[in-house]
Amino acid sequence: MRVLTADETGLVKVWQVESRKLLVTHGLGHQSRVRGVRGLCWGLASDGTSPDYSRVHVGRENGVVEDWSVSHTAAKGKKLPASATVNQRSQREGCPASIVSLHALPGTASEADSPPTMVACSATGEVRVAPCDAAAGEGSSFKAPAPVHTAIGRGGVLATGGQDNDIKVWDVATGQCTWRAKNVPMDAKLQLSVPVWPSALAPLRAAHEDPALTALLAGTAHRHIRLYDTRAARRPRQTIDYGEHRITALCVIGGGGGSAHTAIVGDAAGELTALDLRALRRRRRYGEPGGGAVRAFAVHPTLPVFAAVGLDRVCRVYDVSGGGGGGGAPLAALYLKQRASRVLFCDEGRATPDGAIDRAAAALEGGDDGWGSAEEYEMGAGSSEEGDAEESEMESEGD
Amino acid sequence: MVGVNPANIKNKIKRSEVYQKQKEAKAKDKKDRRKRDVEAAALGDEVPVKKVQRTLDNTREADETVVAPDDEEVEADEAGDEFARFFNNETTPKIMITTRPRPSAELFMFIRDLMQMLPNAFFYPRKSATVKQLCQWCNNKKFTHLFVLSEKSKVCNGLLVAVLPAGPTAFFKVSNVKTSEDIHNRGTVSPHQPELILNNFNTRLGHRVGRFLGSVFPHEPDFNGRQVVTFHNQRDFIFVRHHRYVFEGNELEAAAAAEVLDEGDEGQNGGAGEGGGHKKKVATLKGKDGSATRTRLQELGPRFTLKMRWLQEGTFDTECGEYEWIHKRKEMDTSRRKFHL
Repeated sequence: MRVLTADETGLVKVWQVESRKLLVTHGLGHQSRVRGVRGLCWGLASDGTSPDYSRVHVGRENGVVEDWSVSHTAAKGKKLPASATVNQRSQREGCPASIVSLHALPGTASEADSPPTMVACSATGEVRVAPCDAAAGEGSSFKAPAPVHTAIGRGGVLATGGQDNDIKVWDVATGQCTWRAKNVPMDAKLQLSVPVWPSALAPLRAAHEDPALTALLAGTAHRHIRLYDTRAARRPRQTIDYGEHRITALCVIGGGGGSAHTAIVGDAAGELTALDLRALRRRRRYGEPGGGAVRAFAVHPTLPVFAAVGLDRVCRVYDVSGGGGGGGAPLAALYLKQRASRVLFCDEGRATPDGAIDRAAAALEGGDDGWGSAEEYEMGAGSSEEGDAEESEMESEGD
Repeated sequence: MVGVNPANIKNKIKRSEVYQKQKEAKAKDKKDRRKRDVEAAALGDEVPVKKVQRTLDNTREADETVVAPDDEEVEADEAGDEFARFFNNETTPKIMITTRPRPSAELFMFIRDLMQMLPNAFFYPRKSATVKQLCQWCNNKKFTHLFVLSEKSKVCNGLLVAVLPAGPTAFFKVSNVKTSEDIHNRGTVSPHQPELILNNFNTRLGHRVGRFLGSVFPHEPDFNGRQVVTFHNQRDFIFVRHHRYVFEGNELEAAAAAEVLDEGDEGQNGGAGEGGGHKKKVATLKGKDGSATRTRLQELGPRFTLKMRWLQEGTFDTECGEYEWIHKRKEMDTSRRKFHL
């Protein structure tokens, strides 16, 4: 399994999870807070809903969004070590600073095969919608109310939320707000309104089931978990009090053929717990969580595995059932050296000790990734258009 | 008596007698052994090699977050962190010290010592302001650090330090507080900027805490004053001491320099051309034969111990703030040989 992590000094690293090896570090020598990575997302495949694991978009603090291609080499015994390569293809400047999230969404133009667009939402509410290829046009932008602390996007839709700024769903093409959440009723006995601060959002259903982002899971800084159905009502369908700290990250684990029933909740003190979405109860706590706020989650595309990164400078990879590490411990704890802001899972399956990749996991998706091969290849490698092609590669010892 | 275990003796008086005798025998044994070793060394005989004691410090669990001395990635990160502007002397720290809402009178002795130890520190009464209001007020007045002391039974037991305007906040448990009144043979603090020593902050979190504490001081020390503040980390406890030092062999020069300082003259070499039998220059520190110079220390201001409880991103906000590190006893204190700083 491989993860891609990005931190606040601008470094992007690719890790091999089972061997805990750092394969690539991109950005050494150019570290600074203004280049800190705030948004990270996979590119979009041609079908418009599934991610393209060979293309990654990186959004930085200074408003630069970069478009990279990523390629992997699986290890073959001890003679051919695992490695990865990242190449910058292009970059786009002038995006809003202090990006909160970055998403690759299907094209917004009316043509059938419009190029995928990149949507960058900043903390001040500015949303920039532009084609992923920097040369393909400038795109548009619109303004959402500030402050925005969390945002997620899917299809042609972006959901935002922040302090005293309840969840709003925006149509990315027109910039209009199509749905806005309403707060829960006042506390009946105290006649005090419940403060509003959505600090984490996650889609409740997979992209192919819910392309318009109608089912939302929200976590607030005032320790609530709320489920919303945008087709039905403005108030949350359900709300519960959860935990002792601000909820900083959420992700939903797909439940095989049926709809998802487990969500992972990360909070400001680093606690990682599993929430049963059917009963809305806390199911399990993941062991050895560390002391730093969880900044981001990534869910493996095929395996029941998730990764959490945060301010304690460690990326922890867990099995959803809590097993694997013994006593709920993580499958791997990767020391990142910097405070990470984002993490992504590559679509590689589990690696066996001799380096071969578990083909069974890759076959679940039904794709023809061909990850068992030891050949190095780059998918869709275009020539870099505007920006400098930066390349860094680090060979590691055998697994 | 050696083979008897006092625990098996039911009679308390007899038991304590036996135990005392065993203790004295052990101490005598140790003293005799030392004497023998010294005599053997003097005669040139082989002294039995002393085994290295096994301590919690030297059997500490390996920590992958220990920062290597040549780690460029960590250096580059620290060059851009919230404390770099203090270490570069771009910003001079300006500290506001306050207390919990109704402090005891004894706490003010400690505050007085702190204000002597920390340059550019100002005390303001807390009255009924919340910590968030204090942070806002400090930002308006361009303070760089806020210290909030909490106490229990008239002794300081907690210290909240917030770096402003948006920097991290840390809460330390304070223990073993000794104000300058209780320190035997203490010296007098002079208005010179002290030097700073940060010992044993080795891990990544340790670096962070060390830089956090170091940011409280300006980094332009007056070496004339020979004052030094030490933050010594051992087993996650940070011992804070304030000393004046003098190098051995230079007592006369030190006395001369002290008299010159009293007269209000800042020159290190004393008044040029003045008589009176005082030496005009402070002697160099290196011995001609390369021997190390011994240092004597005189303790000045307060003495206390800190232990970090949590480190938060942003200014104080325990409700909705994010923690960079929070001490979780049950998960983190799993082994006596595991330390975090």
